[in-house]
Amino acid sequence: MNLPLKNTEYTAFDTLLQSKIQQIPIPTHLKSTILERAAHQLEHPLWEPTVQKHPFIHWIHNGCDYIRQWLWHPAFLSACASVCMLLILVFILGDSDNLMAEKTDLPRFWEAALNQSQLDTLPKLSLKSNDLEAINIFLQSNQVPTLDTLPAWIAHLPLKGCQPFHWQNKHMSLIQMGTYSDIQLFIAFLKDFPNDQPILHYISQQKGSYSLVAWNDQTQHYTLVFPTNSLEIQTIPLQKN
Amino acid sequence: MTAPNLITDLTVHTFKAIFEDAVTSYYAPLYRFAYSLAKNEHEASDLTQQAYYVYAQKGSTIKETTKVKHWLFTTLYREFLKQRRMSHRLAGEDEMPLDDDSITVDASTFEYLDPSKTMIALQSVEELYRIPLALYYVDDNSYQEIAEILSIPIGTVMSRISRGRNLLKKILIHQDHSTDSLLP
Repeated sequence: MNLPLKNTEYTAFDTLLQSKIQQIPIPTHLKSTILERAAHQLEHPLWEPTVQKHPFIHWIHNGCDYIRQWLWHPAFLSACASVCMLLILVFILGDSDNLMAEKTDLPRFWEAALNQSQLDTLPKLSLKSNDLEAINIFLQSNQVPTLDTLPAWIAHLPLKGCQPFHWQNKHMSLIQMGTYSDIQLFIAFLKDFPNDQPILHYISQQKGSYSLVAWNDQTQHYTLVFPTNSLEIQTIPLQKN
Repeated sequence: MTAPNLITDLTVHTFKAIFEDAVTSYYAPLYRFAYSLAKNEHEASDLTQQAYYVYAQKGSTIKETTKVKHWLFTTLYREFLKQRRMSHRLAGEDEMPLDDDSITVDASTFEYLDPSKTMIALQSVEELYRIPLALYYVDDNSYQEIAEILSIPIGTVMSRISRGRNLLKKILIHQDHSTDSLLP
């Protein structure tokens, strides 16, 4: 019958085994290899010796170690992901709100901008002009609000061309400021537009929606915004030097 | 030389001395522990070197020199787990039911046992029991030290060593019967 070993038997067995295990030979070059491999680390330690640290630096160091332990913790990662998603949502919603605000504020802005210019002195632009340089000179010479006074997203729109259209044997010039999303911006000069047939009447006959963002019936100066495809007129491409 | 540089150099010099002392004192038991884990000399050497390399890198994190030995064994064990990716497997292993049928054999029976065959027998023990048993034999670590190195309760260490010892004894007896190599 097998009986459990007594403590003395355990001790004798363990002592014998320990002596046997401790006779296992060690590779001859192991110690020197360890020292050689660690030599570079010992001469140029990445760590800073603890004794030279100011207590505050030491406190910061320990804090960093503690934070580092938490960096890859699943709860911390999921919290970071949630915050990031929240920030992205806020950014997207905020950005769209800003865009809507810009569109909403556009008429007011243009009205203010145009009121600052001396509109009553504006001559009529030659209808046949499709020269970018000529248009720019015209705008500058007549103190039309310069592009840098406009909202950034409008100011970056390139001038696309001059668009003439005719009504009741009258014509007017539209300088196309460019296309943004689904709208086109125009500056119109209607020196010879009949006062009894205001442009609003003409526009009301057009298909689609429109927006007259600024006007002055006395000077016959109008700034218009049209949906991209509503105005059935063709743009004369600008001449590019 | 400015004062901070002097302090730095002195500290580096001090740590270098501590490191060399730790190599001299513990590289042999660490190697034997690694050998019992890895079952081959080459990998055991690599594990031992890696443990010291990590120690050289992170020497400043050990505040007390008395904990260097414990730290080195723990690091070596973790390096072994990392290399083998066995941590999950070990955690999932079931412990054997308590074996009351311990074998009563006089320790003198194994007196003429060859050390290399003793190590082979130790390496044959199931890993769950081999690791605490190896720590127990290679450097006479206490149960408390083994519990800290392996991050398990001391009671578990004691039971695993007890069962590991019985398993080792069975293997040694089997070796004896199969090869008749216990006697010179």
